[in-house]
Amino acid sequence: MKFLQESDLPAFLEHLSAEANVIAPTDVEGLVQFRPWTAGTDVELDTLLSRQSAKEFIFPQWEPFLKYRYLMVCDAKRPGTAEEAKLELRLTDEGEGGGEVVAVSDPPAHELVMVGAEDSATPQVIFGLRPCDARGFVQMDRVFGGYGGFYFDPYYNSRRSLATLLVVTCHQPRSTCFCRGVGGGPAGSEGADALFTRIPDGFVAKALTTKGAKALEFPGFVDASEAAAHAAEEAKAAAEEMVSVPFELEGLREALRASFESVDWRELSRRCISCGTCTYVCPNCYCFNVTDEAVETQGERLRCWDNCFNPSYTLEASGHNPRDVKSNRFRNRFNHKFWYYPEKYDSLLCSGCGRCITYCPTRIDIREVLGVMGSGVAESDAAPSGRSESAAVGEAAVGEAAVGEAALGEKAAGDGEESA
Amino acid sequence: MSDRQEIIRELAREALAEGRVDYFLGWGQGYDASQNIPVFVREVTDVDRLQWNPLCHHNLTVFLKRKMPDPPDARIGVCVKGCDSRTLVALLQEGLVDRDRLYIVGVPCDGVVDRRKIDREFTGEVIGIEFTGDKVLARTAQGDSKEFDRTSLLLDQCGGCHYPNPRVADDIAGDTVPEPEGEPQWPSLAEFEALSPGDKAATLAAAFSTCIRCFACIHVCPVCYCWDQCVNRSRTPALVSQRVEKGENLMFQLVHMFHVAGRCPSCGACDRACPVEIPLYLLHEKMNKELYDMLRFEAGVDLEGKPVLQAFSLDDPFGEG
Amino acid sequence: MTVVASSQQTQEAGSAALAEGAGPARPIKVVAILCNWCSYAGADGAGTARLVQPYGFRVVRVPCTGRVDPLLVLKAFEKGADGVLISGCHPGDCHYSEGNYYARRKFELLRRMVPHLGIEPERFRYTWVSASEAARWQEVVTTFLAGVAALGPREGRAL
Repeated sequence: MKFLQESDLPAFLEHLSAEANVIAPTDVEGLVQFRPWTAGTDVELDTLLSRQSAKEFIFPQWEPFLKYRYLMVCDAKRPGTAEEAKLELRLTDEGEGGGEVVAVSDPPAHELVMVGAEDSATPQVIFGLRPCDARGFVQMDRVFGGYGGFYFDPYYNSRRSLATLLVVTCHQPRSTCFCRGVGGGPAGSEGADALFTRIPDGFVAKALTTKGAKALEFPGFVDASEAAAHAAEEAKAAAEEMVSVPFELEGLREALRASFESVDWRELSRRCISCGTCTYVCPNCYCFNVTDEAVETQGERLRCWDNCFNPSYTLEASGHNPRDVKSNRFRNRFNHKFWYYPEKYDSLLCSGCGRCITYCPTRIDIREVLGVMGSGVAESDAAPSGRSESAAVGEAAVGEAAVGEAALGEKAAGDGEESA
Repeated sequence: MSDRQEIIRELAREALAEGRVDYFLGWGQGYDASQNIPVFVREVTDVDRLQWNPLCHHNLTVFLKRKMPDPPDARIGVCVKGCDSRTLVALLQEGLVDRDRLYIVGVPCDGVVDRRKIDREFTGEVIGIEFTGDKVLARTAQGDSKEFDRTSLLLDQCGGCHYPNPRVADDIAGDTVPEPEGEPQWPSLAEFEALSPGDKAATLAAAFSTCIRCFACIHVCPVCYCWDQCVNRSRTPALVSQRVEKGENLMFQLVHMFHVAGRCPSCGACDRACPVEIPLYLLHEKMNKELYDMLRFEAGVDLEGKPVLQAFSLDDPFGEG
Repeated sequence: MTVVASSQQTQEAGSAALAEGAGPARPIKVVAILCNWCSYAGADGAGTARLVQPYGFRVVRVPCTGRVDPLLVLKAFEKGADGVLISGCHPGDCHYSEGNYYARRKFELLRRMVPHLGIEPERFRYTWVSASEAARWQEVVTTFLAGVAALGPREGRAL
C-alpha cells in the first residue's frame, strides 16, 4: 500500500502526462465530465459520478474506420518517368492536390481505393474512475476482445491496451447506486490497474496490475502508514454499507425468460420517450452503427454509438422493423443486460452506477423494472386484473400485424398496440 | 395547491369510474420524495398516486403525439398546465390529436420549481422536497436541509409566463390564476443578446460541444412528432452528420428548433430533459421572441388559429420592397 | 449555369470587389439560392447582357423559394459558406402563386435568428429579383458580395 498527499495530486498527474494523455473528471460548463487534463485544471473528486462514463475515451462516440476515394484521372501527377506514371492517392480533408501522399498505386482511373484510418491510439491514463466505470470497460472487453473466439475489434483494443485505469473508490454513494446488487461494490477493483481510496489528507493507493505499478512509480508515493491503511479500510467499509441491494440476482435470468410475453413490459415502459440518454451515459452500453458519409467521390466510414430505444434501431433495409413497438425495445434493453449478455459471457452487462435512473427524462428506474420483471410479481402501474380484454387481444393482433408491415406510415387504428 | 391535487384526483376518479377514459395521465412521485414523474392511472384505486405540486414539470401532452398513445385509439384523460395546454392546442390545430378521445383537465399554474436550482444549493444528494405554502424544504441523504422561498426557485421562463391558465380544457382543477398583463418578456435572453457576434458564437460552440445527441430533447417535445423519421437520424438525405462535433451538434438543435417554430410555446421540456444541461432556451426563446416581434404571434394560444409558418398573409411586411 | 469570367474586364471587376475588403486569406464563398422562374432567369439575363458580376458565388437553382428550408441556409453556413443569398419572385408574382408568401415568413425568422448564432447579419440576405431585372441582379449580387468580402471569411464559428 502506498500513500499520496492530496497536495501532490497535480504533480502526480503531471508526471503521468509526460508519457500519456491524462483524463480526469473536471468541470465542464458546470458539470463534472471526464476530459483531457492539463496542468492547472482542478480534478473534481467530490462529486461522486461524472455525468457520462469515461467509455468515450476507449470507445469513442464516433470514429472513422476508413476513408475512401474514387481515383480520378486528375489525381495523377504529371509523369516525368515511367515510375511517376503511378497515381498517387492523396487522402486528405483539404481536397484534391493537398495533403500528404498516403498511398501510391497503379490502378486505372475511377477505381475505388480505400485507406484504413490511422491507428490514432495513444497511451492514456484515466484517473478518477469509480469502480462501476472501470467495471464497464471489463464488460465491453468481452464483446470487443475476442472472448470465446468471437469478434476481436482492433480499434477498441488498440486504445484499450494503451489505457491505464486508475480507480478512486467511492466515499459517498448516491441513493441511485446499486453496484452491490450486480456483483460489484463501491470499493470494487474489477478493471482497475490501481485502486485509490481517499482519506482526509490524501490517497491510499494499491497497484493491481503491471500498468498500475508503473503508474505508481512517482516519487510522491510513500509507504502507507498503518493508520492511513486503516482509515482507507474504514472508508471503504462505510461506503459499502450505504449501497443497497434492490433486487434478487438469483434466478433473474430465468424470470426474465419466463416474463418475455408479459404485458407488464407495456406498463413499465409507458413513460419512456424512446430517447437514448440511458444508453449514452451508461459505462457499458456498446451498440453501434456503421455509416458511410460521402461527398461526391470521397468519404469516410464512421462507427458511432447507437441506442436500442431508437425507433429505427432494428429497422431493416426491407422496411421491416422487428422492434417497432416501444415496449419491445424497452424489454430488449433489460433483457440484453441481464439475460442475453450473461448467457453468452457469464457476467452481467450492468455495473450499478445508476446514471440511467438519474438522467432519464422520466426517471425510469432499472431497479423497479428488474424488481417487477425479475420476481414474477406484478407490482407495476396496473394490476393484472385491471388490464382490459382488448389489450390482451391487441397483443395477439400485433404478433400477426407486425410481420410484413411497412416500417413507414401509421399502423392501422384499433390493432391495440402502439408502435414507436 | 393541495386543493388542486384533490380536485385532480376527484376528476380522475370520476372519469375512470364512469368509463370515460381508458387511463388518466398526471404527475406523481418518482423514485424518491424529490422526484416527479408522469403517472398513468388505470384504476380508481390508484388515483391517490396523482399529485400536484411545483415539481410537476413534465409536459404530459408528449404522450399524445403521433405514435405515442398506447393503444392508438385509447381514450385518455390528461392534465395540462398553461404551457402544456399550448402544445396541446398546437397538436389540435394540426389535427394530430383526436379531441373527442381526450378528457382534458386544465391545471392553473403558479410556476414550476427548477430542480437544478435546488440541487446546486447542496453538495450532497437531494432526496426530499416538500412544499408548505410558499416555502420549500429540501433535504439531502447526508442530513442537510434548507428552506427556500418558492418564488426564488422557479424556472427562469416561469418569470415570463403569460399563460398560466390552460388554453383548452374540459374541466379546470380549481381557481384560475391572474394572467400577467402587458407585452411578453424574455428575461433569459437578455444576457446572451448583449454579447458580440464572436462571443455569441463562442458561447454556443462551448454549450453545444457537450451535446451527446441522445435525442431526449427531440423525443420529449410534444410537437416534435416526426421522431422515428427525424431528419436528424436520416442517412439519405444526411442533413446532419453522425460526427458528434460542435458544428454538427448545433445544426442538430437548429433542425429541431426550426421545425417546431410556430408550434413551440417554450414550455422548456427540452431544457429539462437534457442530461448535460445545454441551455436550449437560448434558441427556442429567441425564436418565439422573433415570431412575436414579427407577427404578434404566440404559439398554441388560439385553438382556431394556425401555426404561423404554415400560413401567410398577403400583407406580411417582410422582405425588400 | 456557372458564372464564368470570360473577359479581362470581368476578372478585374471581380478582383476589385474582393479587394474592397481586408484582403482575405482565401476567396470568400457565397451560396446564392435562386428560384428557377424569376431570379435564376434574371441572373442568366445579367450574364447574357455581359453585366459585370463579382466572383465568389455559387448558384443553387430551386423551383421556388417556397421550397427552401431555412435549414438549408444554415447547412450552407455549417459547411463553410461565408454568405448566403436567396432570391425569388416578387411576392404576388410567384410562379406557383403562393410559394414565396410562405418563404417570406420563414426567411424573416431566419434573418432574425442568424445574428443570434454569432453570424453577422450582413452574411444573409433574402430578396426578390424578377426575370426581367438583370440590372437589379447585378446590383444585388455586387452589393452582397462586397458586404461579405468586407467582413472576410468566417472565423471562430459555432456553426
